[in-house]
Amino acid sequence: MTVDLVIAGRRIRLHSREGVEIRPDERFSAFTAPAEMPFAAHRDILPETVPDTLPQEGQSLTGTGMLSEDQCHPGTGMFPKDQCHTGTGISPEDQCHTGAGMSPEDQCHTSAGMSPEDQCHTGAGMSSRSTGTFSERVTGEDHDLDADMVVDADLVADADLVVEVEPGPGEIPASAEKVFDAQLMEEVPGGVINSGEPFWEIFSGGGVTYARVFLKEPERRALLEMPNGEKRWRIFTGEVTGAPEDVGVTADLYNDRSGLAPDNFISPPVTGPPQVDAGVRVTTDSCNDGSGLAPDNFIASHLPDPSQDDAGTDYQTAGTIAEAPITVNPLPYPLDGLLFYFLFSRTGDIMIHGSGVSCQGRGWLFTGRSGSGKTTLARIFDRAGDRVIHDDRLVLCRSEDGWMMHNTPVYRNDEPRSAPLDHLWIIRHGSANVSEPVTGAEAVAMILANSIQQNWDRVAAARLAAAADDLVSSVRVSRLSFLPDGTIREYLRLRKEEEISIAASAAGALLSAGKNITVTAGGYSMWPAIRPGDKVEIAPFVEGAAAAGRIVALRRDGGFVLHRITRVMTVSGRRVIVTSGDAAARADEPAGAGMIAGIVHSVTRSGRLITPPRRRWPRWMNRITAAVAGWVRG
Amino acid sequence: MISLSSTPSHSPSVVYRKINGEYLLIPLTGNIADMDSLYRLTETGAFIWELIDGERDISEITAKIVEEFDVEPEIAEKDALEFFREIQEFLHFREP
Repeated sequence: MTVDLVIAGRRIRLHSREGVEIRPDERFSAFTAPAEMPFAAHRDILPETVPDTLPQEGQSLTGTGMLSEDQCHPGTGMFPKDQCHTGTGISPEDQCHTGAGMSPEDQCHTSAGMSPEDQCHTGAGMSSRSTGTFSERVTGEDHDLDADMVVDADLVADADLVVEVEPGPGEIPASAEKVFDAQLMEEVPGGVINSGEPFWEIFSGGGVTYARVFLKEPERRALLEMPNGEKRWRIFTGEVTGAPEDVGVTADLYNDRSGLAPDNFISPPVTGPPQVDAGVRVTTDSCNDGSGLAPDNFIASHLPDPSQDDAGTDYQTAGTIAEAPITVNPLPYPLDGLLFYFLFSRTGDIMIHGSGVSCQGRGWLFTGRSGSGKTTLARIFDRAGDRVIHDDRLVLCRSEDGWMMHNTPVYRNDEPRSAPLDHLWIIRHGSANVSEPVTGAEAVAMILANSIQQNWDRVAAARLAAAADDLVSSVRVSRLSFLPDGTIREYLRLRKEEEISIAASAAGALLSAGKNITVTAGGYSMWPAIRPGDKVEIAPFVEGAAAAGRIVALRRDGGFVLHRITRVMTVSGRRVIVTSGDAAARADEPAGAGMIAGIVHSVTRSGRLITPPRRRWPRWMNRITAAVAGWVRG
Repeated sequence: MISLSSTPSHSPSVVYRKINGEYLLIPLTGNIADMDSLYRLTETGAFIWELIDGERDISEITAKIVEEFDVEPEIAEKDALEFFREIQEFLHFREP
């Protein structure tokens, strides 16, 4: 059967062979789309090749298409030929299960009338097996290979990703190496702690990335299999049926380098429709595919017990399996998040922890560490009648009209929501509503720190940095500390550029008339000399007052920015002033005295007049602590 | 021990990107528990980062700094050594 999900504008087609019913849990109800729905937003997934030089400023990895001729199997478009040779791309499960009921030795050699090795070398063998596994339309007894290929192409045609859904734990080939380990991170007051409990692991080998997930209730393992650069993946959902004593597997065979016992084979049966009750004993000889490797997928325990079937049943037809259907949840938590992460990572999008709202036509995304107030802000905007896109996890995608934010299924009542993204706020609780623009590398770092990332893969890490760089070039980014009451909404709503300009022009007029003005500081760029909330008295600027060390009010972006003069130079007879925020890592662009509206006369904090301290010595490097929460349970 | 005769090269376990004259360093790691920091090199740090080529030793890099910036050689030397110690997890060092 086929179930189409549309997440963040991308169509994910879940597909199963006959006898396996895909039933996503209720989080996905509103994200399920009719398969025949036209779909225009198709985009290619980026290639998984490591560029010689990583993308630099102004460059990004561009999609060159996924299913290139030389990558794909000519007969089916499914598995790269090369992968068949190494035994990693072709699954012995496929080889074996159509022949259930025969001795293991026979299975591989008879199911398609040729040896597995032959199958790898020819399109015919692959297609023959694919028919039973991947096609629903071909149910008759006369298999037509050409027709199968058409079916296969149709399946992929209008989807961004096709995921074959299988029960069972799946198998990771011994040649694959573990590249990433994620323990269950638990959210506690004030942060996130590592429970040390295995949650998911990533393996890589033979051009395939594997994500193994440790699931609970019932305890089992699921596997996401992602051939690099392909739009056809597989999920083994972890459901294991059949009595454990029927499964002849030894720890030696379970060669996954994890050092873990194959405890998934004794998992309790899952709920669902009638389950078949036998496993198939497989030995290393049974699926000798010539690769020299142990069989990858020796578990065929969801197959019917041959002893209970009528004699003469054709095990090569899918119809046999359909007699004992099994229902699987294709995307149990956290497998859903991992699949989305890998998909959106490959498409060059950004998955980020945050709250997204659409307030009077403006799209705002609030991101920050756990406990910084994302949910609080979503609630404030929700109560005010604004549209909350999501309060936990969003996908940011670049479209022709700019960056968009989309939700993904997280809660039971979620429904697809999207909005253009105008401003990204890095939030924290504070004693006042104050914001300060952040740009360049600092802004990119802050976005990455709050994005979902797995920094084992340099291509993915570079691509995410490139995407964030692109984002900050068109979406404004600011730090925002806020009061957890309704005033923040008003603060942001009224913070229109025009109004700031009016205030600035009024202040500018006063300064021009020789009067001092007092403003309330609203940013961190001069920390610790000037802090948010400080009352700053600004006097009119006179040319001779420009000296290194003085803090001045600069005209910028229709408002004022308080920065310190670091250098006064004469270039070609013209006076040039270099300024910088004390807390900023780099200096402003040098400019003439005309940019200075006034000079800071005094700073008052909590009613006390203070002397701003001298500028700190510049630092080489700033460390930005990331809030990499992964997928926090709850 | 990092000294003026050490020759630094970029470690393959870091991804870096130049943004507005600065560098963002993303350490690669195999465990989610180690994924806690990104690093940003300021313009001066970026200047040194770009001089790291696996050929120049730190004294040669220091000479370039003195050439480019208005700084005393002793101060440049001290600051450069401090810089290399600070970012040593992103570098490999070859000793003569």
